[in-house]
Amino acid sequence: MKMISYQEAIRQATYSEMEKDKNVFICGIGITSHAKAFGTTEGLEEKFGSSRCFDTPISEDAMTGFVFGSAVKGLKPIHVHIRSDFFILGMNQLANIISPFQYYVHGTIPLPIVFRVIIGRGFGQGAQHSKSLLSFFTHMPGFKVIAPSSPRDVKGLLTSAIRDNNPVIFFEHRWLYWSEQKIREESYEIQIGKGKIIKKGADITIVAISWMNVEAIFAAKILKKRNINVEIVDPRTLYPLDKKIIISSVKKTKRCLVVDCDWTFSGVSAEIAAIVSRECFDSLEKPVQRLGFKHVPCPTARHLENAFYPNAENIVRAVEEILQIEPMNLEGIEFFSNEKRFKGPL
Amino acid sequence: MKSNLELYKSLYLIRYCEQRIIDLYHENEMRTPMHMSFGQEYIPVGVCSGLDMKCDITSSYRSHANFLAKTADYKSFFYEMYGKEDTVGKGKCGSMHLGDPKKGHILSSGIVASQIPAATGLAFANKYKKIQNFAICFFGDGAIDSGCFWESLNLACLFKLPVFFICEDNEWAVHTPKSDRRGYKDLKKIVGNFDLYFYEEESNDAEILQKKVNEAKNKYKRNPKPIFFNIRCYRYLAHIGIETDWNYNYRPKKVYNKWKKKDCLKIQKDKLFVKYDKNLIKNTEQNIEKKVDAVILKAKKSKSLNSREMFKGLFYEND
Repeated sequence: MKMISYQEAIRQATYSEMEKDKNVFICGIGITSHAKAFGTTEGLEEKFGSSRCFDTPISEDAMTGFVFGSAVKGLKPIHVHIRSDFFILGMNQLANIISPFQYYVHGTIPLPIVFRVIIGRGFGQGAQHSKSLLSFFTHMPGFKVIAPSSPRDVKGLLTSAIRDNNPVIFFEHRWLYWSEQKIREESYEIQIGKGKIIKKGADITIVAISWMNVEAIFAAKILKKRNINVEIVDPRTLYPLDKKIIISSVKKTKRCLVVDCDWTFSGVSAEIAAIVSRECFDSLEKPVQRLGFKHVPCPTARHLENAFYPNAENIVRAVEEILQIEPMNLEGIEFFSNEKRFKGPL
Repeated sequence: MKSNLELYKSLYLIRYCEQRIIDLYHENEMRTPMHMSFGQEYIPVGVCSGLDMKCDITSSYRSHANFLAKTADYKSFFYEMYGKEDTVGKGKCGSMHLGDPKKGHILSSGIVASQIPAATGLAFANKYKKIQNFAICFFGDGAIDSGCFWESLNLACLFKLPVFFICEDNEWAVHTPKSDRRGYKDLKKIVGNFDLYFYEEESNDAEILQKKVNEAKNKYKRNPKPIFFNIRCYRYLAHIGIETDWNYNYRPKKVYNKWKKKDCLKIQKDKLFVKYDKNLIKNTEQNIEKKVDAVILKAKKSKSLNSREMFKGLFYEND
């Protein structure tokens, strides 16, 4: 066991799969330049050569079809996009070619593709470098969608994603990159489609997605001071969704808050809320609540950007509202920001 | 490379299958919009045979000739048209999404140009695995208006991929002629400036085309660069459906008459008359007709996928 960062965990999973299987290759805009896609492709070109780790023209549309075609012929592409906003340039290929392909051939042709898509905040990224758009991809049949929130999960799930014979869209939140955790050095898989209870509690279930798990844990620590015990469920995989783990948690706590790092309207949080409302209708003490981005394009100025994104403070307030208790004093608590980075472990 | 007789058989199979669609469509049992290849058959026949069938192809929604030229699988073809279970697509594809990846027809797409990028990836995989095989994307002249055509062309040239870009240039994108869609005069001057081999063809002769394709293949082997063919052709029928569209007056019938004189089946058949006995040709045709008719009868009676099984096959299932 060694202390490993989220970005290093991604690099390790990629490295060991490329070492194990010569059909695995990785490509993406700028991934061989000095930034190395936030360090996640460090050393890959040197080790595996430029035929297996390469930069591409700024042609997301054609490149998405390119990786698809290569997978049909038995290669295992990892296609890296440093912003979700850029990834959607390939939407025609995703929605019209890749989504129906396996269905056309009735499940008979392996189609191992991993789209690594980086989401999340920087500092004033504005409307075109800040989106998540998770529900664009859970909405369409034919994709597995994963959004890991810890170094341990990202390593195991990326390994599983690369080994999977289906298209996987793999969301990595930038603010998780610096988080660290003690994890196994050798490679391992984590089953796609399995959620995880990352904190046990009896008073309310928070279903948190990607980075929002970090905010939820921080909020839980604050709430603990007034003896409120939050249970946090990280679905980890958004499609196929582990409904069971969410339902059994809510049946126990009788309250549910879904926290997404995306817009809420028609989003993944809406899907989870619908499932919980239906499956836990008799247990629920209160309607399911949701938190997510404000329904505007992401503004650039810091104070507006802060108001746009949900954080631990919003979670504390939402929990207080659901539990019908007085708002506590949060003065003096410093919440996460681009300057106050979360370094983990969770 | 195929003999004249083999080329003719392939052309005749396509023409006859489509003729049967025309004959039977009114029965309303083939519930899939038809974009007919009628008149354009020589392109996939000439291209695939020029590569000795060692190729994987992607095609547009005008997919019939491409599918049959590549796979010759008229059984799957009609089972798919009739929406029956005993085919790769199980009736989920219909006319617009015909394909059989294991037989080298990867997919057909109903979104103009969207089938092009996949071919660059197929070619990349062949190069990566050192397999001596080509990828072909077939697309209409309308696809050249689309960004992903240019992106794919650029990629292919940059990576020097073993890929053929085959433009089936019938002049019309649905009902809009090239002159209303292109802000440039000469495609050759633009595409020809990419690092590739550029060819043009308008003979309507599958034999001439297969020779040119074969020559291009050898050029690639000597000095790897992608190949672009602009191939003029004429669609005899409407953009969609089984009828002619002269009554709409958007394209003059006299152009059709010109092309009809050099119909691609007629060209090959005339060559056969020089070499073969009339009866042999007739027998060859009848043989194809019999086989196709028998398959159609079977297809009509064959069972469809149970709708309870409609959720199968969304993901790869043989793990």
